[in-house]
Amino acid sequence: MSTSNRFKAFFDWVDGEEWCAKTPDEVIARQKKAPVRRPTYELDSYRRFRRLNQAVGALFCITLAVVLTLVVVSFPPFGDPANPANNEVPARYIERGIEETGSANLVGGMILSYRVFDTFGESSVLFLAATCVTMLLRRDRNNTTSRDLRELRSDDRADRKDKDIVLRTVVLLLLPVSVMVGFYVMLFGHLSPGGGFSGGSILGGGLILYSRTFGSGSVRKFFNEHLYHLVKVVCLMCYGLILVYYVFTGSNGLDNHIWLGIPGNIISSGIIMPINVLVGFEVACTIYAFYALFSEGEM
Amino acid sequence: MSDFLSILWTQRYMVTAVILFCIGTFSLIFNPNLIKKLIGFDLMDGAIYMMLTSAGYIEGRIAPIVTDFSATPSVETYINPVPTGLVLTGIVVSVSVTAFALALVVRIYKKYHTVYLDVIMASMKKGVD
Repeated sequence: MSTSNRFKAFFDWVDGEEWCAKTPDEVIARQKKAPVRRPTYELDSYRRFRRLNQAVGALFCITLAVVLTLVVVSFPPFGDPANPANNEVPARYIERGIEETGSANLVGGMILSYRVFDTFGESSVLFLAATCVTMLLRRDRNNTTSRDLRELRSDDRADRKDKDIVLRTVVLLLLPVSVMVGFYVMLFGHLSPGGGFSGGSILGGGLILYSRTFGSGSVRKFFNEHLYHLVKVVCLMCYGLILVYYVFTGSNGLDNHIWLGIPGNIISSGIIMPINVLVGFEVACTIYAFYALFSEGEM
Repeated sequence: MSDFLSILWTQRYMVTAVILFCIGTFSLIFNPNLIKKLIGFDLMDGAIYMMLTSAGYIEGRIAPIVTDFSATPSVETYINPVPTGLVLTGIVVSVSVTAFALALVVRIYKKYHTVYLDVIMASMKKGVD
């Protein structure tokens, strides 16, 4: 293989393994439908129009770069304690954060107790994204061709036949570690860097690793679609209930009866640790669901 | 001129963020490949997170995680925690948006058998439904 061919193969690989139509005629040939109307204009004229479009776009990009650089130059200097961002709000979060939230991780304490409503919205966005991806990519009788099914079956057969001893041993060694680190990051989110989102991503990564090595059928034995929906909905609902209690008592001037504990202990910091664990499970489910839906179209 | 350069050096994180943002915008506008458009979009996200976190940094101070519980934490010890929390929220939202957009691209590929936007547009003009 010559050098230019190698480069071409590499760029094709970057562009994606799947075959792509390069002209409208190829699209029609693939769709196996006669064009309904006469072609209004060809791809070449469309590309000529795009060249004009690109000139305007280039001008826009250059202007954007110049304007943003000028703005950045007039920003307050980097790392200066007298910057306008360092006002009384972060001072309050730092000085009274421990006594009011009980969390040693001040960022975790801030986003899960002072700004917990914001974080709940963020969890809902993740829930909504998982739902939308399920709607778009879930396989059923109407959107699956026989070619897709054949490919899936051959992939599954290859997964089961390929008993790569090195890969399986490494994954079996890595899997307990990744699950343990995931739970550690979730449970210690109020004491050290981490929290529900990062811990959940690590757990989900472990699940993806397992599914990739042993086939998705082995994951389905203990984590099927039913359990996925149950965990996702129950976690978000419990989070919502905790939030409602917290906001309701706070906005009505009632005492906050949640026990904060001694800062620095594992069981402390009131609502923060339970929320971290709930969010962690939800994120782990969502990450694995994204992987499963994109790769196979089902959980 | 040397004044301008020294200011640029002081603001190096923000300048890097501007460069990343412009690269992202560039590929979002110019690349006909939908996947590469999304990569540009994620680059723009990353640039904004970089700008926000650098805005919260204060020279010589440490991350806002208390280890000494004997005294009230003083403001002079820790950096500003607010931008960090905002970035945390933003990352999750950008992951969600990227996943949704990629799912849309998969559906577009299933319909048109291509990810090149110009081919898709031309096919639409030809009346391929």
